[in-house]
Amino acid sequence: MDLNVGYGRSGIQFFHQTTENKTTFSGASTDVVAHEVGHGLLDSINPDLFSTPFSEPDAFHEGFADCIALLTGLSDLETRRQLLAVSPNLDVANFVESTTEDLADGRRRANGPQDPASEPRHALNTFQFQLPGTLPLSGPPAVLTREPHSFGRIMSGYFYDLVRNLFTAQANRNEAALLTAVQTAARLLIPAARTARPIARYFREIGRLMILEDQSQNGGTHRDAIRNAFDGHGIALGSAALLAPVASLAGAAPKLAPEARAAIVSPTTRRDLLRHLGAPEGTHLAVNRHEIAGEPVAVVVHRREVPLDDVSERLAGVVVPAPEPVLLGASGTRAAILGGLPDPALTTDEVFNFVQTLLEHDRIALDHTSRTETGRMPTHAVRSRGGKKVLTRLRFLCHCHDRVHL
Amino acid sequence: MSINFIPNDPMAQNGPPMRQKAPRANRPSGRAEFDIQNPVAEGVFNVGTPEFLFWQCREAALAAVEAWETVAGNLDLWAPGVPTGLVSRLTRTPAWT
Repeated sequence: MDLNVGYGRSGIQFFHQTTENKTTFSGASTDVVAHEVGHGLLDSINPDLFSTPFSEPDAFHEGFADCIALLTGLSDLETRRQLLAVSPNLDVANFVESTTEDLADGRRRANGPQDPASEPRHALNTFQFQLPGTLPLSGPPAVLTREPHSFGRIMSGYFYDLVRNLFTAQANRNEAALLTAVQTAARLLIPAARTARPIARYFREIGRLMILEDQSQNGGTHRDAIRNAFDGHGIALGSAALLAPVASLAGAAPKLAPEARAAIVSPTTRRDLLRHLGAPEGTHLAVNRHEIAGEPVAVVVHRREVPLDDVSERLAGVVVPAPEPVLLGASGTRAAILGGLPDPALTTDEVFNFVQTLLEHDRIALDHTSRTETGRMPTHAVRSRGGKKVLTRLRFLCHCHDRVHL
Repeated sequence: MSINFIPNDPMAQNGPPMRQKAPRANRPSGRAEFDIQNPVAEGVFNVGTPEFLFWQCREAALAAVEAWETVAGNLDLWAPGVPTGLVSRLTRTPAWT
């Protein structure tokens, strides 16, 4: 049995387990419940992220869920009062930035202190961003790894730092100011999470969008607070570049009228974009209209089918569709690519890194059973679709790093 | 009536202790909601009992959505494919074994 908890589209599941005569109930912690609901909330505003096969969006899902636990905690008056009594400037370890204490204790009793989930996760941290492919596949709690809960601490770290920055900038550092700070941070994060493209460098995408959101919502009042929060974790933003035209395309600018439900991209522009992407003519492109900080853009998503044969023999013949989103806008009257074009080699590398992490943590059901080869709960499974074997997301699991032996 | 509720985590250091409180109301009609399995009558229950876990889980889930709606607006639907009542199960054995 696993001491575990998980969100999938069939529901949220909480487990309990007894170790050393003490039973841990994962559903007894508001932190844990709010974290799982957080997965569901993010899924409701950005469902494409559920199946994006890159490490950063995966880690973002976990970090975002921790942020919802933080938002939930700080929405409670008594919690805010008690927090300010123990950490008036939010700069020492405390029970709000720390999550899953009870679950981590259960993991430690069951598996010992080397279990990656044997300590609470801390949003107050100094972890520095590294490309996920350069991080270890696994490690003890103090080590940043590419496992999504571990890597997600970058995301919860910059969110907590933003809350701290917003709070300490206020003259009266009381519970009301703390509520304002966390709600302001959430009002920047949530629209960013709603509109972010499913790209490999997802943390930076979120930061850039938060800067643009702040410009739109608050006239840029919190720009430095956001930038400093991301800088503190090694993520440089450069938000203006996100919407800058970088290459023109054949055809007229996309039609992005406010009353239109979708962006209209001409066949000429689609053909030229496929040429830029190195994709065969006629390949399907999904087109949506988004507003980024009030600016209408077309988000065009090409799905590159990445074969997994080179990752492992066990995945021979299996593919995974990886999104390659492109922002389209106008340069003069012509269609133009905004920000940049996806790099096919990067897409493949990121998918390989992601799938290697799943294999390392034994999270893929390779056959039609609902378990992995060693009997663990999977987050992914190989499913047949359209005559192809496709790696498919089933659920998010928390505290899933290692098996619990009873 | 009241319930027992742990507002943070059972092992949170210096955190607010378990409190007795009135449970939150059900989600308004027409909004995304929760379908928590094995409901029990409202009451003050000991930690670790199925009755406590039902009300703890319900209260925490509703608190999370309430906090979300304060900053993000009404939550009318979960993700595509998720029932309007997001199912929450409290179980000893994984349902997919």
